[in-house]
Amino acid sequence: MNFYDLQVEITTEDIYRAEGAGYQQPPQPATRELHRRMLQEAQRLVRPRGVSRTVAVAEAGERWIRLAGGGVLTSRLLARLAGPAESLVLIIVTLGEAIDRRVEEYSRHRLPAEAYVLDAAGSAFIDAAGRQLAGLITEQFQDRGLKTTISLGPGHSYWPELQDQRVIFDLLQPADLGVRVLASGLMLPKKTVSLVMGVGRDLPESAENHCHYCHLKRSCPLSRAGSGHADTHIRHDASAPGSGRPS
Amino acid sequence: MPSLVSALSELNENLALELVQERMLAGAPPLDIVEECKSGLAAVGERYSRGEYFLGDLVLSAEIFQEIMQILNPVLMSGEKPPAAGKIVFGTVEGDIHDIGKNITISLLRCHGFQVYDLGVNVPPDKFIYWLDKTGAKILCLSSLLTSCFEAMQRTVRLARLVDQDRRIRVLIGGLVNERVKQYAGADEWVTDARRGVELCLQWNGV
Ligand code: B12
Ligand code: SF4
Repeated sequence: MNFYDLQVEITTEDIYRAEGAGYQQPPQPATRELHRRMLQEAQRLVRPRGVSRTVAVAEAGERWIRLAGGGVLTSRLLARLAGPAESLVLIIVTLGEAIDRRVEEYSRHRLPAEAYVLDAAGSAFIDAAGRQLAGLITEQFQDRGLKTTISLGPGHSYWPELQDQRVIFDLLQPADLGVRVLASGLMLPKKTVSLVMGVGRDLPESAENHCHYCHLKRSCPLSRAGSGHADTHIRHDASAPGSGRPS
Repeated sequence: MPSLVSALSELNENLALELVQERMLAGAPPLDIVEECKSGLAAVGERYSRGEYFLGDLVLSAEIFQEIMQILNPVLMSGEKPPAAGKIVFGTVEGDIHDIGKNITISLLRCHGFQVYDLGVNVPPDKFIYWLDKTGAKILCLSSLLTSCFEAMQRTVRLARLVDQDRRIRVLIGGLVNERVKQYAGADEWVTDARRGVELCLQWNGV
């Protein structure tokens, strides 16, 4: 099991993007000021941390992968991309609960604009943190002559079984990070993601990132499937900011 | 002289508050000031529809309006208060904890005069029914982003229909929903846009 403390940086542009706000003209001063303030607050509140564990693949079918130890992950896409892998690396990344609490406070005090923008800042932060850690782990495997697949996450349209979170949780035991899973498969703190990558020598080709396989790729604000996004994709991005350090 | 309408439409909170104070000192009827603010909000809505403004701007304008109302409320005679647009029971359905969309929509609804009972997240069907009964609300708003929770949405709507035989309660669903989810859940309408949701609620209440 590896634990990581990550140094993640985002800009107000990333927050606008997470909101799906594509301004043609500069936003109003009040909107800009609100975003600047919430970015600063988010920077103080988030504590991006992650945990990862590499588990050998025991067997793979057309729509499932069984891990050593018995856990089964059920996604056709995962099976296609990572079925030939030697192992899977399971990852959970979280920002901690301070930002969730603050968003709730803002909502409770009837400050919905602050709540909305701080929430979007959290989404931008966790999105960046997940990509950063996946990039870092990819580099570590590359140093050992191994390749990784793009990272996939349970609950997306290409992997509808959100209950697979349990398999990941059983193996990662992320309670040390303060992360827990609910009956629905959702996790708390809210700004948490789970990722899975295949690791091996001979892996099939794939699109640049998981958004390409997601049915929301055209409408989702966080999508990296469209044109126009400088895509720091995980698979070949050796230059992803590698400021995360195993701790 | 800058108008209250343009101050609000440009999201200039300080100027808007200053102008409200000025108007009050000059003896303008508070209800007139409220109407001007509403025109400001409508202008923000138009900019949103044109794609010049986004959700953050819409919510910011709602926040400024609420602040102005806090100043005006004490001076509005009870007979003078803008008529309440109606009561709404709102919550995120059982199993789901996504609430940022719900909270934004609630702030916009309140801004348009609705009295909203926010039941929070992960709300079991019987709790919705209890609050519909207790408040006499005629609109039920349900939010969910999870496919696995559409079943809870359906259970909630069924229970609501059971106790509302003459179908006086309208059900609006929002979040990651579509026509199919609406059909499945048995709701009256679906939206993926808070502002559209507010428009529907206003229509339903004949406002
Ligand atoms: C941002 C986001 C995240 C963020 C933040 C999540 C959070 N809770 O804060 C992060 C990156 C952390 C995240 C993580 C995950 N996510 Co996510 N996420 C999203 C995303 C892209 C946007 C959700 C959002 O916040 N939107 C912004 C708000 C303002 O919009 P909204 O809720 O739709 O509300 C608007 C309207 O719908 C309306 N509205 C809402 N409700 C109502 C109700 C009524 C009555 C009315 C009138 C209006 C209304 O008002 C709002 C304004 O217009 C959605 C996909 C999408 N495009 O919706 C996926 C999505 C919700 N996530 C998904 C998944 C799978 C996950 C993960 C499990 C992925 C993983 N393996 O790690 C994790 C789980 C996180 C957890 N804590 O458990 C899935 C869930 C699918 C499912 N199984 O049902 C979705 C749908 C994406 C998908 N590909 O399918 N996620
Ligand atoms: S399009 Fe959005 S919801 Fe789909 S995988 Fe990409 S970020 Fe996730």
